[in-house]
Amino acid sequence: MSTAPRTVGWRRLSFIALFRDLGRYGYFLFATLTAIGRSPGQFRRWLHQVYFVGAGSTGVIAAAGAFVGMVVAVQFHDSLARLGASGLLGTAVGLALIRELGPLLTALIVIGRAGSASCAEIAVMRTDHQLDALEGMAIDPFGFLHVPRFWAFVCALPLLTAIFIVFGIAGSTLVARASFDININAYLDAMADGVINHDTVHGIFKAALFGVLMAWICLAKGFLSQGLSGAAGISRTTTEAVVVASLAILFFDYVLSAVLL
Amino acid sequence: MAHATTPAGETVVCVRDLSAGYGAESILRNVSFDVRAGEIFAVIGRSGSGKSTLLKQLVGLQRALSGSIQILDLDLNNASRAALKRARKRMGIAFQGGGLLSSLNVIDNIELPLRQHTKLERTTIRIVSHLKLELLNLSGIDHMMPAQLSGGMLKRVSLARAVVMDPELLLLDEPSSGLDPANAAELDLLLLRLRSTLNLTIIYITHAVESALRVADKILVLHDGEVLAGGTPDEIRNHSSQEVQSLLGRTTAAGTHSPAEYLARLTVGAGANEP
Repeated sequence: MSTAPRTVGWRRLSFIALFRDLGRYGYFLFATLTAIGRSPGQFRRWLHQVYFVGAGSTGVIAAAGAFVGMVVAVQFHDSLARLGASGLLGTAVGLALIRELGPLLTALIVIGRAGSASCAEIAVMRTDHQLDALEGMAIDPFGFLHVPRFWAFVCALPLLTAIFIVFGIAGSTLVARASFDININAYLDAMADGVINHDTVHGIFKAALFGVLMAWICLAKGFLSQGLSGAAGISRTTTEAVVVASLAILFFDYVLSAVLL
Repeated sequence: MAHATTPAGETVVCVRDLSAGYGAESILRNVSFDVRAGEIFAVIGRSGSGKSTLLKQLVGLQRALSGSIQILDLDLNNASRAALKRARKRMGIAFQGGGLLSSLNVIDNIELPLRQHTKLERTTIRIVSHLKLELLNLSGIDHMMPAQLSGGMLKRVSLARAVVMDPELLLLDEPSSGLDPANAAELDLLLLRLRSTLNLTIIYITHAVESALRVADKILVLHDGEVLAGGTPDEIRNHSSQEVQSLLGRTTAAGTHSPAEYLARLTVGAGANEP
């Protein structure tokens, strides 16, 4: 009998298992990136996935953006008023939403909604032998399953982030006008003056990279799962995917902020 | 869809000294057998005897620990990814649970291999798929999702998908498990009909011994990962090994004795294994 651990969770972490898993996840990313165009009907399946990840998340992203914008306006107004800089409210809210809160919160919401669903779907396909059946039919699971999902996440995240930011700005403007009696034009002018193109590119770039990270981790976690014991196993795998993807995004958010600013 | 078919009687599958398992844990040990073109070849054995592992080995879904598998002129040990893909296009596989993609309806599942591997027009693909559905006595279920199908229907849809590319070799994992006797018998007839109409070689994994004795030309008996016996149904029936007779006895008893006698035999069998 082998003494090597069969599964690697937080409980059975070992160096050998860690390096083995890094290799498997690395191979998964490589195989997914090189499988573009390898399966007929990829574009149609990509559109379907963009609809699932993007259109399906629009409502919740818009609502979250509006509420976050309102909260940020209230919090920043209080802080800036203490410093006697209430006139900078538009700039501060704009920068916070575009550079940081928009990409980050959008990513975390999409992980919870679409990332977890994709991970669970692939894990169920593993336990139901649907993936074995695909391979048995000489259909490459990377080209057929992962490429459309992967690029759907990468493309949808910047678009959803833009929606989050637009609704965030709308929410903050509403609060600035209704609660603090700030002129809307003055508020938006201050925001436009304070935010430069670099900030927008920064936000969109971050969003796309977060899309790569969440697609990679959530899809690979489901695909590489082995010996899952029914619903409990799938639930555990999905939870691990959400936790690991969220932490990875928070970590890379810091790295990108430190590098790009 | 047109493949260079293996002439009748020639060896389609040649397995020699195959050992396989998970990690260092060996599930199959020194398994050897041949399957000839046009044969129905059944692999029988109790649960955990290594039947499904053998099927995964034949399809190339797992690497062998040692030994060799020659399938459709391909040495699986030394096969490139492209060669394995070409060989798989000449096989049809139906897994135990069906393996149908849960996100696609019945007709999309059946059309999938044709859409992925051929340049046939959509209407032609639809016609071919309907022909296979009719061959398996399935009609009017095109737009049903796999979750809406009964166990028997799932097996037959999976079988329809397995034969949609007109394969030379059909591999089936427990095609009759979970089916009532009538449906299981109907599936046996379907296998015979598929072999004669599509000129197939069929390897099927089953623990339904009666079905294997009825349908198969050759039978391989696995026990604890090793070959216990192999031969024609008559040779298996008359095999001297007590394990083989025990395996056969449990099934044939149901047909030849009263329920009370059958239950008594089962009870005695279970008692014999106790310390």
